[in-house]
Amino acid sequence: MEEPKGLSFVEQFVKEKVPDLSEKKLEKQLVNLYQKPILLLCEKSGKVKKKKQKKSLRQCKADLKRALTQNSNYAEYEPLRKMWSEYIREVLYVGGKKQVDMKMAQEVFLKADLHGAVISVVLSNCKHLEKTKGTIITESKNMFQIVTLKNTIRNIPKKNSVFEIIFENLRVTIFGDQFCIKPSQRLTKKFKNYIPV
Amino acid sequence: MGKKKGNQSGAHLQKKDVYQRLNYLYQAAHFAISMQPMNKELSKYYTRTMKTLAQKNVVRLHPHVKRTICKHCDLLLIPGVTCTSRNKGKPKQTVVTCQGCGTFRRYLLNIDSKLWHDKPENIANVVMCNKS
Ligand SMILES: [Zn+2]
Repeated sequence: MEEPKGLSFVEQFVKEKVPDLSEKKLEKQLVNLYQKPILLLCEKSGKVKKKKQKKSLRQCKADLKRALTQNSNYAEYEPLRKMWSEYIREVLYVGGKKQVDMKMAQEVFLKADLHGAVISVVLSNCKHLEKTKGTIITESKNMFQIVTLKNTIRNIPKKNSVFEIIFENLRVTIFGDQFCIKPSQRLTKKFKNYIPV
Repeated sequence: MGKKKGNQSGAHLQKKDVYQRLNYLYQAAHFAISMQPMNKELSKYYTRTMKTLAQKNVVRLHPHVKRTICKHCDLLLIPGVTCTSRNKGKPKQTVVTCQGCGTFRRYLLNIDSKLWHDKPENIANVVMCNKS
């Protein structure tokens, strides 16, 4: 492991395991981490624990939101973008073909996974949302959540807006009105009348 | 990562797009764990969509994939990072404990027994995904 990466992992680990320390003390201890030992939290070996209740869906969403706002760095999501382009290439070029049928491409993009795609907003009801650009991280029934180039997280409603995805030499426009379905159910749903892409 | 197997006769695999999507989501969950401040919630989100996707399309996850997902909170279990796995007990068994919520599962350690999926006579044909 490289040095800066390893250090931050240690910091995180210590923060989790050390029972309540004030932040100043923690910083002091981290400075001379290699000279002094740190008392780690000793978990009590198990008598009967109460089984935790499952989190409600609302709480899950709140946690996700908090976690996303903490790391909203555009550069951190670089591997995800790379992975997505590989995945789309694998889906598009079936059987070693080099050319793409336009009809095929339509269906592929309607059914493919969009987490990690680079997207830009072309038209929207909100004027200030237009021309924002970024990668999709999460997708829900009515929303895209994207990381913009300015390291911020934006929620963009699907309704009444038009999106554009550029992949190599393909340009795909998506009409948000028809896209209001959960990402896990989009595969099974049949689109009745395609709007030409 | 996600293994692709077809039990149909003929080389064509049904629901290939579903398998590809599942595979991608599984990799995305791994990516979220490996981000520098570890992003557990994002990886939970990806595994949850993966689970529901498999449910809706009536596709079963491979048991080796299924065992790396916490039953209770959908966290991706990687030994040493998000879970601990120990061998103990009188009939020897591995105990895998999730560090997110503390639920554990036991798997018997028996050399003679194998999973149904691992037995060579049960595999009809293996479909390779073509690399471009
Ligand atoms: Zn768990």
